[in-house]
Amino acid sequence: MESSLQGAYDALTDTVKRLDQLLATCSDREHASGSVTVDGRTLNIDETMTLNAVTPHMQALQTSFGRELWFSALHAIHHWSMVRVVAGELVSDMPRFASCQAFLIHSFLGYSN
Amino acid sequence: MLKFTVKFAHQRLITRLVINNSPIFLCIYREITAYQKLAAHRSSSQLIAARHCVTVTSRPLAPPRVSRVSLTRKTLTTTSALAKIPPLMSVIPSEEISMTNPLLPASQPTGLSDLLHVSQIVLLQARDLLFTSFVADEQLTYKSKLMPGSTIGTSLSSIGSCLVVTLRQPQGNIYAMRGTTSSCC
Repeated sequence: MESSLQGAYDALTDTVKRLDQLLATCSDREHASGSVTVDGRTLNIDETMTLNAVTPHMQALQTSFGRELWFSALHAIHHWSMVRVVAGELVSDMPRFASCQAFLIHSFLGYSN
Repeated sequence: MLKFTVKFAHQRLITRLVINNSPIFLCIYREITAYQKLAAHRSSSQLIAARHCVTVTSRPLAPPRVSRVSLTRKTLTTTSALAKIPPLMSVIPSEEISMTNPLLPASQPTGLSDLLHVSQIVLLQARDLLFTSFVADEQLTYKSKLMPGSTIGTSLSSIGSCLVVTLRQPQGNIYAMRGTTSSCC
């Protein structure tokens, strides 16, 4: 993924498909809730997880599935911004990229407020 | 649309927060200042939880009975508003927090599917960029001059592994992982 355009494209596509599968099994009974089936196991949005972070010391923290998912999406925007900086050194004409979640939702889903 | 009105009275010692024309929060201005001083020594998660509690604490607006003695207290734990801070928010299910939080509009429900959908759109952004703007593999391994050690490839793989680890759970052990590569910061 780090050195091949095709590899990176395929890896991102796989993850997007994975999210599609999860969306298909996702049940939102009420707001701020929901569960998905991951490898035959039902995960609630508040399912407790253990976070192993190496930054650079080894840290083990209790977290939740929903929180980690939210962090991943938020962290992605940070990395997309870094990609934008590096790509700016290479490509003179960059399209609109590294938009934050709120802007993306506004643009793609047409939310008015 | 929430309407916030903050009123000051009694030589700026009393702060009234009025939301939608109904007062929900009464606190002593001094306590807020003391809280901010304490916040500097707390961890960020505690700070967020504490701020959250202070913001949403619902209390009927009673006539102010503020004695000078209570205002001169310096110990934060003895002051009324902050002494009643409940435990960290992490122990309360998300569902309950959103239902009891008057600042979250109930007309915009958010569930797990929304979270998954947003993650998907964020990833599609990068996939579109790869498809439209890059032409050679070497562009992924180009080392940035502005951010030494950083390449486009490392950023992409960092997010890939971040999400994949979260979404593909091994049986019997639920975990997430961060910072496994030197470029993940």
